[in-house]
Amino acid sequence: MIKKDYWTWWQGGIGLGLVSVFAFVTYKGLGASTSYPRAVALLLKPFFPDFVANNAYFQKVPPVIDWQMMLIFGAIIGGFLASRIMGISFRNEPKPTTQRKWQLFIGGFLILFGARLADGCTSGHVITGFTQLSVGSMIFGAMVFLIGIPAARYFTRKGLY
Amino acid sequence: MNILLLGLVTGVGFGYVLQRAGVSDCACLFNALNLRNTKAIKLMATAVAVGIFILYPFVALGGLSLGAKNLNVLSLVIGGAIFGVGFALSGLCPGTALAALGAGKKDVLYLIAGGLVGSFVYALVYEPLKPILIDPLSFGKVTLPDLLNLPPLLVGYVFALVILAVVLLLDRRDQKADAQDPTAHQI
Repeated sequence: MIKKDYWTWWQGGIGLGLVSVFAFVTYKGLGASTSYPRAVALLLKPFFPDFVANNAYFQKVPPVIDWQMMLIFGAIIGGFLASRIMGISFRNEPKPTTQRKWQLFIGGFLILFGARLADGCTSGHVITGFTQLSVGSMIFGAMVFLIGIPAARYFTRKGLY
Repeated sequence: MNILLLGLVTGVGFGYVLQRAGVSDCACLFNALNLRNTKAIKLMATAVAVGIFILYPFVALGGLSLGAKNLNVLSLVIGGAIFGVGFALSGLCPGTALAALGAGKKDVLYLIAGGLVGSFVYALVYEPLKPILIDPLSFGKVTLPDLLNLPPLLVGYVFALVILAVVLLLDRRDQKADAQDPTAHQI
């Protein structure tokens, strides 16, 4: 049973804007996707220390717990708190179909591969980069929607949702 | 305060807002990309405008530097396109997935697993890709005020007002679509 409704776009927008301001003032702009390869480096390090030490990308994104990795843990806690306050639960949700599982796995693969190539995702480029007025982030944002909108149309026609 | 603790506090606020506003629900993103209900787009644009309105006076006074992202044209165009397809396929992004996980949506683990594999594959191909997709056409940290050679405060405020105008247009469009079919407005 839902106790509280979702925030509207402007409530959420002001909330996210204030979190972004807090991040900029106390340390640096919001970001999330760098932590995925960092987590991979942290997971691989105990088993393949030489591989991690010699990989050019893991030299750029070394296996250490940093500010953004803590932000990731915080985001999970924040999501939990919000769902509790709202009284929503996904416990009785039907198990995902095999197709849905693959859709999420491949989607996750593409999102992170693309975000790492572009050096940012929806938070790093669209929120932080646009706030910085970074020209590169505007190119990224334009491409995400230029490709994402027809892709969503195509997937809808194919009955994937 | 300790940097790591600050990261944790920022993250709690970040995940809380994403889940509280419902943008961590895949349906919200599908509706936005199908231009059926653009809540997620309006929310992000408002967040950017709020950030600009609050931060740029301090930037103008010289008390704050926001930094900038690198302008590597090829990697941004191709990375953005790949991201767009994944975004449309899953309805989640690296940040909203975490808020959804915290809320108890277990199927998000498949997306996170895919994300970790995607990051690993990227780490494997980074060295050969760098001279092809990252180094050519890269112009360093370029911002709109640099490009226009105008004060950041002016450019920022005009930019924020323009995106807010777009937000209001999108909102009018959403309300019209909603009057015809209210089902997409549940989130």
